Amino acid sequence: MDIVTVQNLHKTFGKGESAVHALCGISLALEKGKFTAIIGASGSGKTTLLNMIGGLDTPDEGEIVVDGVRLSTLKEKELAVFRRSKVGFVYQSFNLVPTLTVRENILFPLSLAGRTHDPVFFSEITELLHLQERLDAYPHELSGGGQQRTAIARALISRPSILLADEPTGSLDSKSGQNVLGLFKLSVETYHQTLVMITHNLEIAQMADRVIRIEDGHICE
Amino acid sequence: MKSSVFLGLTISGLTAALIWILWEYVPAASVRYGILAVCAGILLLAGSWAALQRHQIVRFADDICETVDAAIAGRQPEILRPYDDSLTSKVQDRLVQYHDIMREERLQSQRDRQTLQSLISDISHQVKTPVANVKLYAGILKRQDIPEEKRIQFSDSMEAQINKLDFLMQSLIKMSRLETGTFALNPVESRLIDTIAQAMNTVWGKAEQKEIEISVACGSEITVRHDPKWTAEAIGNLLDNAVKYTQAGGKVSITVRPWQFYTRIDISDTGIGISKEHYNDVFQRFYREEKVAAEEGIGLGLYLANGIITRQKGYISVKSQAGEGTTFSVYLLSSY
Amino acid sequence: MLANNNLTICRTLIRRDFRSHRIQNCILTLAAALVTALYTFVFLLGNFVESYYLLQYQYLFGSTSQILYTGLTGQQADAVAGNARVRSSVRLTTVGQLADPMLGQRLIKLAVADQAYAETVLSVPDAGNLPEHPGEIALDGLTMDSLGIPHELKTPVTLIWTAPDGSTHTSDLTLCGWWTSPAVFTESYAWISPDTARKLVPGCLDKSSPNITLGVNLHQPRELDGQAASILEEQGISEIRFTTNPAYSEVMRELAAMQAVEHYPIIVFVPLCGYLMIYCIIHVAVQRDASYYARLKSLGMTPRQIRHLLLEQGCVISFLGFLPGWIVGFGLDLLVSSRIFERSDENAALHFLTLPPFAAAALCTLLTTLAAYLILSIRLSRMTPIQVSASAIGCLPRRRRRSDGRTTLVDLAVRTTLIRNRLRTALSALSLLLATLLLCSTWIQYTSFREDLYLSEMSPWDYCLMDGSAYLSAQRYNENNRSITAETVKELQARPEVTAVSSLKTREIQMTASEELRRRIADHYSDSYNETMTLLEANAVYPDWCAGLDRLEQTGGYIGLIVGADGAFLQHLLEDDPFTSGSFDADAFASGDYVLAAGTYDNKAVGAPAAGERVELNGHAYTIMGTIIHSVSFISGSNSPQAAFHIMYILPMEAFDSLFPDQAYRQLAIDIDPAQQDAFEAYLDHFEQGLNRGIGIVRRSEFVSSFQASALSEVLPELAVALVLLGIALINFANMLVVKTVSRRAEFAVYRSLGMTAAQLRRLMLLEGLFHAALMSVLLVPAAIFFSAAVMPSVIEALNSWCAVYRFSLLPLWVVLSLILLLSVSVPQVTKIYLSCTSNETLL
Repeated sequence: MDIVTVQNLHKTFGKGESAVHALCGISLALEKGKFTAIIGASGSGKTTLLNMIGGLDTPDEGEIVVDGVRLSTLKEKELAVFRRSKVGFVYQSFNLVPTLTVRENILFPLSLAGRTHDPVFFSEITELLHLQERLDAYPHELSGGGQQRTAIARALISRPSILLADEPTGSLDSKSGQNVLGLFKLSVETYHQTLVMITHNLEIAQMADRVIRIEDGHICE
Repeated sequence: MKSSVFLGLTISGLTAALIWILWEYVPAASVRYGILAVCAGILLLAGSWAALQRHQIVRFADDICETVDAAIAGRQPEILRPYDDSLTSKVQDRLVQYHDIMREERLQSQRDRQTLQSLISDISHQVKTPVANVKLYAGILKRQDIPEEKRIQFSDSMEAQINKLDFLMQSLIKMSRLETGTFALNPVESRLIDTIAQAMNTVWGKAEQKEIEISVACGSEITVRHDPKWTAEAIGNLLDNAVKYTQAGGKVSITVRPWQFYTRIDISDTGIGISKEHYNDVFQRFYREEKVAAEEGIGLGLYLANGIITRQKGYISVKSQAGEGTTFSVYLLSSY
Repeated sequence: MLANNNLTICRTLIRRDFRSHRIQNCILTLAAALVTALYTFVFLLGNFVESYYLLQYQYLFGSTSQILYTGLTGQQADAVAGNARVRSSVRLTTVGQLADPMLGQRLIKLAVADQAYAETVLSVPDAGNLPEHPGEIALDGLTMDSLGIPHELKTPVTLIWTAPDGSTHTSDLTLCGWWTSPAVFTESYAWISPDTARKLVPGCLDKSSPNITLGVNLHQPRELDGQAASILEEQGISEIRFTTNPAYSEVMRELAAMQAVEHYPIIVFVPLCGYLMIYCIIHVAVQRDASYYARLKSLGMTPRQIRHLLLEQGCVISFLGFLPGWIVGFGLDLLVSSRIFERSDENAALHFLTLPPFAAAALCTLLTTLAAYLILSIRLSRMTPIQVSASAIGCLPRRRRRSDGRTTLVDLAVRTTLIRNRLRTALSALSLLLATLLLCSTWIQYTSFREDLYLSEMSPWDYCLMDGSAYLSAQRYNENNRSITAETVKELQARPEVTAVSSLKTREIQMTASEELRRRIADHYSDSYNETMTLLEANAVYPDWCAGLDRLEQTGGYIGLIVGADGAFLQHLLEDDPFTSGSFDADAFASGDYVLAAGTYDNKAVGAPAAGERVELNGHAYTIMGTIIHSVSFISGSNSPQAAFHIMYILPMEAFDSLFPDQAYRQLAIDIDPAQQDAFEAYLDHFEQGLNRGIGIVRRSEFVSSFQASALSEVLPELAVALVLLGIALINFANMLVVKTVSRRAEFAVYRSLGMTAAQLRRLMLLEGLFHAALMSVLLVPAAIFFSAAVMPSVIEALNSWCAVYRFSLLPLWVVLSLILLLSVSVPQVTKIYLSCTSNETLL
């Protein structure tokens, strides 16, 4: 069963001579519950593709269907709900809210949805990510890795159907990296989530059920 | 019902009081009616507000019930507007997620039941032949008239069958311990080369028999935190597998690469290979590819190996080219 | 559909935002406070003007009561006062009316003292007290001056008065108090105690005597005439006269509102600039925090939540700004409104204080702030997160001219100033421009009022002393008064500061015109004034004047106003009023045989005896030296009603003195050595205090200060608004500079890491500051010059003021530019130093 279907996606940044074709006709389908790794050189359009699947950006052309809903039919307010309920996003730059504590950051998607959180699940995640000591710290008081782990906890807390991760282990030491990968795998298996991860690490790509290579906006599998 | 009567009484009482006050203390008729109209307006507004709220709550409850009904009936609940920022869709979203997880678990337990059934049939199948043989040999040995050398021959055969049963039993015990989790791993920081050597001991004889050359490329300085005994067992199983399915004169090589996250142990053979669609299956219990049915084995080796490695937070991947060989890669968490 | 209950997080975010962006939120609050202050100021000022004019109308009416019923009996008064519509009432028992002819047109009622009523007619003694004992009386200052009563308690007062029945009596009483009543009053009161009243008119305090005046205030002061009549009807009282206070009529209210509206147009600038300012600041903030908003959106913040986040922030900022804004606005109002009207005292602003202006100001501020936030919130909620974060980067130049790849500091500075965040720069320039233009306009208006023009018209001499009965134009000059005597003149002349003392005396005498003169004047006035009426008809509104002219035509009898003048008075007369016959010969005039005559106000005809004719004054014969146009305006006070039409004969002072040896001075004009003004003023103050009789002193310095005050008051509201707006615009500009510096910390770090020295960095920022200042001047200077040179002349023209002459000035522009220069050089440097002092956490 395909949870994400992408058809003939095009995206161009800029105009005229300086235009950059980030995506040129990408089509793919992601199976539910599987781990897909996206690899490719910098600037090949990986992040753009991920942003579009996550509803952060709109394509110039083409169609994205997530869980039976065409994203182009959603208005911005529905897209916002889509982003917080369907997708857990771990960004390349950590994207924490600087004015909120680690705890508030982790619970932020739930707060936005007006939902209460499951304290057991929360403490499980924070323990696994070694955040339980720093819950009341502000993001700028954490190391890069700490911030990254907070972002991951935040992506997992709402048990979204789709986990999108853009270089999640990029700024982590190997121990945290292992934990993060383990946590992702665990979460994916427990909640039958679909994981799409951009990575430069071929080791991680090895672990994936499927590896997609993107070069200059095209897929070469 | 009681509360609505009470409310009605209160409202009519207050209205009466208001009218009395107005007629008693407000001299100007226009002012009287003005105040009355304003109060009536407020009442009307409050009433319609309450009615609207009630209507919305009823609709909310209806929507939720519809979703729950669909879930009870086993249908996938349909949500009209899945991404509304409303209470309804908030609750529905949770319900659907719950439903999905439950369905997935139901499917999983169904699969488990099937597996259990096939396990039983597998075990009975595996046990059937040796037991029949033991029975046969026991019957023969009961007879007084067999010559001594025959009796020794049958006893040996019977012992072989009993060993086979014993091996089966051992494997089953390991399997059950693996599954129930009563399986104590003692990870210690130790040299990987020792573990590999220990694993090779179990297949040395067989390999020599089949004239298979086993080469090891492993730096003696590589240490990994792992349980040597069980890891040796796992690697041994993989090696056993490799030797088993490699024709005489073939090659088995062990290569160890220390990576950042994982230490990768590749066990490559030049055997018959595994077709791509069975990559995942080979780690299943009692799975045996049809083309190797002739070979002895019960299909638990790879399952056990995978279990042992996974319990140590590592994993095994497989890559194969049919007819040219197979590479099993064991990923053990690197020390840091 | 039940909305999701997910707005709590917005509140948390706002709280945190306030904690972490203190500086920015302080600036925002400051802006909101200033906007509130402006609104408060303008509304308070409008309210003040409206209330002030209403009070003036009440003064004109002579009472603050809404309806005055006259001639009620005690029972009737009680009945009316008890009517349901009446909120409060005050009553006056009139005993009679002063009948001294010296009182001129003023009407003085002899009445029983009543504190409450006295308050409504602003006639409570401020020296002494209301009479309590028999034989006491309290009067107003003007009446005392007219009657020649010295300003001393216990002075015996002899009054001629008429009782209601028409009989005239004379009574001797003792002065027990007086007050200075507003000059516009033509009606005043002479308070006596009830005992005195009973003694003067027995039975006047009986319930049945119809001598009660009832001042009534209603619950709903609308359609007073109708209500007044229906109250009478309801109480069954008929044939009672009443007057209603026009100050409460719709027309007067509208009139007052019109006066107030004149002060409202500047309010257009307030929302405009306030909006621009707040928009700029939050625009800058949102741009800086674009990544923040992008990540909020990327995490699934809905447009509704974004709207709440921003609008609630706007509300909080407005609410924080209210209190300081109110205080500042009220302070401004206190400062400005006490000066805007010459005669209003400082407490007037407090007196007129009401809540609605504050509420309106708060509401307007809230709306302005929310409008500023709304646009951003709409923009933010429409964009996808990627667009939001892309919007912060803005567009860099597409292609640069071919360069060799080398970058100088100047290049860098130019690129930062001109290319980065052009919108931001444009917005801040726009608000600066608006403030500068308003300031220029105000300044040019102010400088265009010409003091010399005003003074030469209003006060040709340094000081003018007047007889107490001739201080105001409504007063009739009492020829028998002896306030200014020859001793006074001698004393003044003896002062070392005084350079010249000119004197003026007048005397009215009965004269008879020759047949020829009669015809000449009659013909002149029957000439057509314009197409529709004759000169006589045009003057029909002055009945006394018409009667006088009539008498001349009928009988030849008229009043001759004999004027003895010398020095500056004569000079002024000769300079300002052209001759219609004859010419002036100083020697001949000094000889005392000649007089000047002045009749008509017209230069077409000789409306008085012509040159060469003979005239007999008080038994002496004189030759007319010349006839001048009668446009003499400097004679203070008014003449007797019979003398409304008169012919003026001007004699040298010596000749006048020989004609009327006992006549005292009506007016003195004194010129002094300007260097010794202070000494003379001190002397004058002393002199004024030492007097026990009414004497009016008009000082040129009063005219100067009143001119300056009125010129200032003319522009003061605009000036206040312009200054506050300039403040807002400058804060805005500074904020832009601060943000530009703060947001480029990383960039500076890059420069530093690439080997730019601290000195170079400072130079870069200095250059940028200079470029910013230059950019602003490029925008401001042409606009301001164009505005001052092309638009302002017509604005001054439209003022339609005789003492305003357009004068080109760019002073405000230079001031603004120097402020801009100062800010653009200092702010980035200060910010940089501040940044290097503080750790990262204060500015997330």
